[in-house]
Amino acid sequence: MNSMKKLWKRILCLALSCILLLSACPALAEEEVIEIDFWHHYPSGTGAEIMTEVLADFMEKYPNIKVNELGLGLGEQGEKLVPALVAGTAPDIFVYDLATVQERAMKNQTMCLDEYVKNAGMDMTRYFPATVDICTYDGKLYGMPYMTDTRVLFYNKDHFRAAGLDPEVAPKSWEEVLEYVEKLNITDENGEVTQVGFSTIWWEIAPWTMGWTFGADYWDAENNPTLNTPQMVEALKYVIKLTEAVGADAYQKLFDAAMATGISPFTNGTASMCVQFNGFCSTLATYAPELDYGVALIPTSDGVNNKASWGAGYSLEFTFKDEKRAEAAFLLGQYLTSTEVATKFLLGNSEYVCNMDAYQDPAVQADPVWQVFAESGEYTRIHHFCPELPTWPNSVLLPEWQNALMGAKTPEQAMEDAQKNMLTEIENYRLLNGL
Amino acid sequence: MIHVSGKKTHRMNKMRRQEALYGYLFASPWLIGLAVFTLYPVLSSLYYSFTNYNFSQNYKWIGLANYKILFTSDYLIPISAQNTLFFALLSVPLNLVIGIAIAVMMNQKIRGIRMLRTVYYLPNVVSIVAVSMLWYFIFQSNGVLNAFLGVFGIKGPNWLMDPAWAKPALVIMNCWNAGSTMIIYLAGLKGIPTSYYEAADVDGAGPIRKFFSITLPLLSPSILYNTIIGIIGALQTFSTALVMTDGGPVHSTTFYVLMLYRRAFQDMRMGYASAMAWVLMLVTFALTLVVFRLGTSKVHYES
Repeated sequence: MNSMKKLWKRILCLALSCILLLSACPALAEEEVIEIDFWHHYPSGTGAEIMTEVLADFMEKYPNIKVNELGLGLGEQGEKLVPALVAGTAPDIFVYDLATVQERAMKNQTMCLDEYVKNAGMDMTRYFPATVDICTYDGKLYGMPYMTDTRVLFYNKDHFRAAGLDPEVAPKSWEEVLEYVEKLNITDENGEVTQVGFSTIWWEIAPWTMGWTFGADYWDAENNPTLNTPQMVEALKYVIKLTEAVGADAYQKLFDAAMATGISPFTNGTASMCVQFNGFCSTLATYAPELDYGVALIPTSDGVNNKASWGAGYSLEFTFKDEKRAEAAFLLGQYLTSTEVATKFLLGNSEYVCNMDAYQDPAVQADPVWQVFAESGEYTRIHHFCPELPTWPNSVLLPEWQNALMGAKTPEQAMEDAQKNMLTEIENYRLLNGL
Repeated sequence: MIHVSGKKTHRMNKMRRQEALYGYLFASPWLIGLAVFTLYPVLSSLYYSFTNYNFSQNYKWIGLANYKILFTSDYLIPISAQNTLFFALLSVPLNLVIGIAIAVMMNQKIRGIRMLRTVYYLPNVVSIVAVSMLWYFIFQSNGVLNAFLGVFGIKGPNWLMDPAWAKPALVIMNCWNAGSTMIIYLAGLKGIPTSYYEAADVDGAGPIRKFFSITLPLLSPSILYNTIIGIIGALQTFSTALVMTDGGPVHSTTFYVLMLYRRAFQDMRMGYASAMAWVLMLVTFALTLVVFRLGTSKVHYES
C-alpha cells in the first residue's frame, strides 16, 4: 500500500515537471526583455514628439530593450533627479546639466563610460571638444555630450546699410565694435538715444565671455583661480569704455523697455548689434520675422586670436543597476548621440546638438546662420567645474564686475577682490571637507 | 450592576487606558505628521549642521567647523546679516505704523467699508511672484514711482539696479503686505469697548488724545504680537529678493535666508546651510525674548 502511494507520487511529480518544462520551452526560445528607464528634458512640444518617435525606432531596432520614458520640465529635472541620485533610484539613463557632470561623477552617483566607449568603438572627436572635456572627471568619461548652445553676434543689416556699413561684414575686433557703435548710435533732436550700436542687454555677453575674448583664463593648469589677470582687467576697462560710448542712461532705458515688454532691444529694432544664444533665431522668427539680420562670431580683442563663446547644455548620464541594463542604456545613449538622431533633432526642433557631424547635413550646410553656429561651437567654452564652488561665475565674478561697472571700485581692485573671495571660498570648502 | 470596588477601579483604568489609546489614535495623523515632517527634519538639520553633508552619501562629522567658518571666514555672512538687519529695522516699524493707520481707517462706520477691507487685504492673497513682477515695473528707472516723484521735481533713483536703493525698494514693497497685520489690529480695535470713548467724549478729549490714551494702550497686545511676528518674518525675508533682484546688485539684497538657500542648493553645502539655519533660529529666539521682555511691561492687558 505504502509503496503504491510512493509510486503514484513519483509519477505525479514526473508528469508535473514535464508539463512545467514544456510550458517553459517557448519562453526560452524568446529573448529576455530588458527594461530601462530614461528621463529626458522634453515634457511636451515638438521635442517630445521627436523623442517618442526616436525611442520607437530604437525599440524596433533592439526588440529586446524596452525604454520607459519620462519628460521633465526645467525645474522638475533637478527636483526629481538630485534626490533620486542620492537614494539610488535614479533612472538607468537621464538627460541633465552638462556643466555639472563632474559633480555627480565626483560623488560617485553616475557610471564611468570608458569601457563602454572603448568596446563600442565610439569616436569622441565628433563632439564639440569643450563638451567632451566637461564630461571628463579625473581623466575618465562620465557623460555623453548631448545638446549644447553657443553665443554669437547678431547684427541688424538694415541698420548697417543706413549707417553706410557693409551689411555682409560684421566687426571682428572690439575696437571695430566701438567704431561701428559710433556710426550706429542715433540721438534725436531732444537728445534722446533712439538707437544704440551695441547692446549687452540680457547679459548674454557675460563677464566671463568678455574676459575670454581678451585672452583671460580663470583657472590655471593646476586648477587654481586666476581671476585677476591683466587680460580680465583689460576686458573690464573695455566694457566701461563701451558703456560710456553708448551712455549708461540710454542703456538703462533700453533695459527697462526690454524688461517691461519682454522683447529685447535687438528684436524691436532699437539696438543694432547684440550677443545672443543660438535659440534667439526662433525668437526673431516669431517676433520680428521681417528683421534682416546676420550672425558672426563674437568679436575678440585683436580680431584674430582669443576667439571664444560661452555655452552650457545637456549631457546623457548613466547609473549602474546591472550589467545588462547598463549595456542597454549605453546602446540608447549611443543611438541618441548618433549623427542620424542628432540631425533629426537639429532639423526638427532647431536643437544645437553636440555631434558636429550633424552640421554636415545638406540642409544645414545651405543655411549661413547655422554655419556660423557650427563654427562658433568649436570655440565655445563651458564653465570650468570648480568642486569647491560650482556657482563661481555668478557668485564671485559677477558681483565684482558690477562693482567696477558702477564705479564703486577700480577694475584692478574689483578683480583683485574677486580673486581674494574665490580663494576664501576654496579655503572654506577645504576646511569643511578636511582637505 | 454589581461590582467589587477594587475590580471597578481596575476596570476604570482599563477603560481610561483604552480611551487614551483612542485619543492618541485619533490624533495620530497629526502626531505622525508632526514627527515625520517637522520633528525629524528639524532634528536631522541639527545633526547635519555638524557634518559636511552635500546631498551625497559620503559625509562625515566635522564638529563645529561649519559654525567656525560661519563666524570667522565666510565673507558673505557679515554682508547678508547687515542687509537683513537693515531690512528688519526699517520694515518692521514701518509696517507697524502703516498697519495701525489702515486698521484705524478701516474701523470707521462708512458705506462699502467691507469692500475696502478686502482691497487692503488683497495683496496678501496674490502670489508673491506676481506681486514681485508688478513691483518690478513700478521701480523701473522710468517706472510709476519715479514718474510720481518727477511730479515733485525729484529725479528718482534707478531703484533695483542701484546697490544703495535696492534694499529700501524692497522695504517699500513690503509695506504693501501691511494688510495681514491690519486684520489683527482691526480685531484688536473691535475689542475696545466703546464706553471708554464715550467717557472720553464726556471729559472733552480730542481724537488725538483718545488715540494715544485709549486706542494705543488697548491695542498694545496686538502690537506686541505683530512686532514679534514681523521680526521673525523680516529675518526670514527671501522670495522677493530672489525674484526681483536675485540678491544683487553687488550683494545689496543678499539676505541671510537667500544666502542660506544658495549655500544649500547651489553650492551644495547642506551641512553648512543647516548651521546657518540654526544660528538664525537662535538669533530669532533671542530677539523674540528681548522684545517679549521689553514689551510685556508696556503691554496693557484688559483683563
